[in-house]
Amino acid sequence: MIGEAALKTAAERVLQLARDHAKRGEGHGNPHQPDQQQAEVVLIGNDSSLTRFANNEIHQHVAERDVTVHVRVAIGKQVGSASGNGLDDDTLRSVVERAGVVARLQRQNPDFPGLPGPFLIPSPGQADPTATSTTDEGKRPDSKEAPPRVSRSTANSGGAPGTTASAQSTLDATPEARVTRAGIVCRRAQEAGFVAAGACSTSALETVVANSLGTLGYHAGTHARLLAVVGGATSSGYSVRQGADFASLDAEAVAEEATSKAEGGRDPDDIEPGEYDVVLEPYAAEDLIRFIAALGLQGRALLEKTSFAAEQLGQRVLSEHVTLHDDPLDPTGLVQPFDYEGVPKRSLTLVNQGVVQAVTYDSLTAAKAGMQTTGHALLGAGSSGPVATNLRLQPGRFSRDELIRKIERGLLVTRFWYTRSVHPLSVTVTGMTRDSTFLIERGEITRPVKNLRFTQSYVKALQQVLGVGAEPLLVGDSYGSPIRTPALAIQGFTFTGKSEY
Amino acid sequence: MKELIDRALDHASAQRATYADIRIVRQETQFVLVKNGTVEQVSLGDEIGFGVRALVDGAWGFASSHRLSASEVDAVTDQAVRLAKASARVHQRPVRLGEPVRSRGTYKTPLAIDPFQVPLEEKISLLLAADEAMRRRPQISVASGNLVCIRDHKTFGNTEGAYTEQELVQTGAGISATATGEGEVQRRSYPNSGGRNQVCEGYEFVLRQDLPGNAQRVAEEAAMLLTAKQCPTGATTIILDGSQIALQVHESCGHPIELDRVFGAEAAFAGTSFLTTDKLGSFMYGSDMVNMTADATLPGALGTFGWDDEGVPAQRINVVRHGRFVGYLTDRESAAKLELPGSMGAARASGWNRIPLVRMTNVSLEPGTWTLDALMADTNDGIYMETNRSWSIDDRRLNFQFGTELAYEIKSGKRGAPLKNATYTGITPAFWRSCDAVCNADHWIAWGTPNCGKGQPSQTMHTGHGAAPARFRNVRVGVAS
Repeated sequence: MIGEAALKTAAERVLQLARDHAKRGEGHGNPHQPDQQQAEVVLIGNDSSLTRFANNEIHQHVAERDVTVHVRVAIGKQVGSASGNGLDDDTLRSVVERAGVVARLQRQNPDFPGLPGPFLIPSPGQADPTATSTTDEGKRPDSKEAPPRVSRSTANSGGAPGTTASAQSTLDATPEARVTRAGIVCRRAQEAGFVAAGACSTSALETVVANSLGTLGYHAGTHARLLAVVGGATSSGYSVRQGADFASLDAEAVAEEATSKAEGGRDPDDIEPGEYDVVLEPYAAEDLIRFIAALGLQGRALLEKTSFAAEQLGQRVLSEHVTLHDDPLDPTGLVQPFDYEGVPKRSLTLVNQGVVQAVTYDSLTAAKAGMQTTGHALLGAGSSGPVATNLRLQPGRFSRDELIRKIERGLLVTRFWYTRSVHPLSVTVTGMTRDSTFLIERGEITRPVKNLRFTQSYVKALQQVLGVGAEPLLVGDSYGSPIRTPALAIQGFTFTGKSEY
Repeated sequence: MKELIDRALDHASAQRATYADIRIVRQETQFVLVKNGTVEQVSLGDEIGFGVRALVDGAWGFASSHRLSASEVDAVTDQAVRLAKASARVHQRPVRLGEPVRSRGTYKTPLAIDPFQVPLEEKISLLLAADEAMRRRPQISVASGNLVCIRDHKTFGNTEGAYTEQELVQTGAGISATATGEGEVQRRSYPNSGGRNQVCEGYEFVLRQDLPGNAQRVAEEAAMLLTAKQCPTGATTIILDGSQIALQVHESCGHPIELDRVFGAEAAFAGTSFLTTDKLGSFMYGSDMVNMTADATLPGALGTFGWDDEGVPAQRINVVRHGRFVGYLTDRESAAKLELPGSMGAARASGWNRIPLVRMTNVSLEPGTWTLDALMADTNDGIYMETNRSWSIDDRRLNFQFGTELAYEIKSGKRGAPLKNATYTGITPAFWRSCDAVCNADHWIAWGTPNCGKGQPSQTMHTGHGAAPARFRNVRVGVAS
């Protein structure tokens, strides 16, 4: 890892360079006054490795070290962005100058509210003398008040003060240790007559956000994941475990889950498409939550009138069994204490017992909507909107077997694959089942069936929830942030096509 | 650069690497996004780094870093060797690479107008002009336009003696209008879905698209779709426009012919392939009308280059000839595994920090003989579909479902009423075997897909697909939810 001191020093250097550049601009007859200029820097240090396996052997083994620099310069309402990678002075200077040049050439963006802040995020382990303070989001840049200090402990759902999202075991993880875990999965698969594919990855991510208003925050987090697909000629199974702590990755559990699912899914029967009640394992339930949040519960979609939640805030739109949070300070997840504008994050309840309670905003969309930022600014192009990145579906009270017993005739779905939006307003999505699907008859799993294609409104699906599982899992792999969700039982899920395998 | 490259290769060889290569890549980017009359983003990127691959004890290791220095090259090479040795502990067959690759030379994307030399103000004005034209329609809630320029400076060397330098340029631009009302949301895009079309050309490509000149039509079509008839449900004849054919080719041909995928390398993520090796040379993938190629030499197309990321020269191969499946996309390892004469040059990495994987270059449906007007006139009853809106396919690349932004009825050979929410679904070989007509070269365009995902960690690749409109019989449409 690069370290907090080095990254904060680099951030401060960027802001100094930005001030110098502004003064030079004024000296060259530029009409802008230096005090009209704001600057923001985001530094991201990434040290990650991945051990990939297929056909019961390691076929790819990679490692990466990088530090990226993202600078925004705003001259009044003219905003320019530039990026580079490296902490040397030449790179930092180049990025600042490019951002400044673009800002001068830019048109005014009347929607730009100025950079948010200032916010000071305590370092991990640092005591916060103002522990009773609440966040003061959306402060205007001309505020003369001292920047508020935000304690993570007051702004979260229960994480301890100074909670770190970094696990030493992940920082210390060696290639050989990842290979060992991959080897456990491969051996288990081979013993059962299958082939294993998957990946064991470890990463350390450091983020600094600073701006000319006085915002400064540093966060270091680790992520470890073991994912496996075990399969044979007629079936496959899937499993993933992930979190901040490499030492807690249970390779035996991953191997067992993926292999036993493949064993149970052997020689699947044909099945006709149609409407079925379903039990969705967490790997499948994740997809509904991701799409609902990304297409409907974020400010840009509301502003652009493409969200199902438009004019529905405060109303019950989904089943009362559905309570959905964005929980970035949950210590059992991947902690993120601030967004890419340095706005402190806090737990946000998006849906409460089916009632749409809130959507996510960054400073730009919040200003346009007349709202406060919720701390969901992403990095770079905001065209996808300020989406939630730490989603958590509140568990219910049913075990997986109890959910299955609710189904007279239906399907147990392991996961969904290649899901894409067909229509954003209804969050209609199409995709395939994958890695073993099973018929449920009279409350029991009876036999495996071949994969099916579905085309389903996820809004409607989440209106027809029969029950929510009690055991959440942190799921998700390559696209988007992990989501913590239990299984879901849903009435009337529409399958529109079938597969030959 | 040469010194660092030689240093890495010598360092790897000294540690018993039987093969090593190194890529140094600098990428410059420029991105402009306009939305509803405001310039939402203008950003300039410039990043550099290098990656070293090493083959030790028959297994791969790869390490990368942004720091270009002699000491870092040594450290990264050491790391690549260590990763390879660790891989060898869970490895069954030593990697073979086939014949050595010793390419040398330089390549630059041919440009008429360097897009990086065009003033930002000109680009912004172009997009704002299109934006303003779209927003004249009151139903348009979102008008947007974007423009991207990318320049990759790539230097490659391997322990077999290859040394290549390339400067690859891409330019992309597009507009879209989203209309809302009547309880509906409908979007029209130009010239392609996903925000833009993208190619390996200069700014001359952007000028040819005439974004402001097409803006009014785009907005009118989006508004029209709000009250258009719903696409009917059933089985019928469909004609797909070239851009939709391009994506169909990408998903249902380009991916299943990736030989590393066929061998299971992507089973944990992107999936496998129904085009198993026993089918090579014998399987009827499509009708006699269907001819597909993979061609990294196609001028101006998004998947065009001088050498791939293993130093193998760009080349053109047949993939499907008169319906018969005849060729795979390969890299050195997969080609050796199938005992082919050599790689056909499809090893591509998305950046300095990623390993090369078998990726599409320009996988195209070769033109046929029809004009679009004649094809419409020859179609008694059917649906014409244009511009992709949604796409999904299973992990073996068989069962697919696509949606398009716009569709029209075809009645008695004439274009009829517009249709909204058009979808169609099928099984890949049955679908391509139902193809009975392909439009000619006058309608053939090299479309770009700049968002192809594969690999762990994930890599986004830019691929090209030449295509003209084509007709398919008895296809299921209007998939109901």
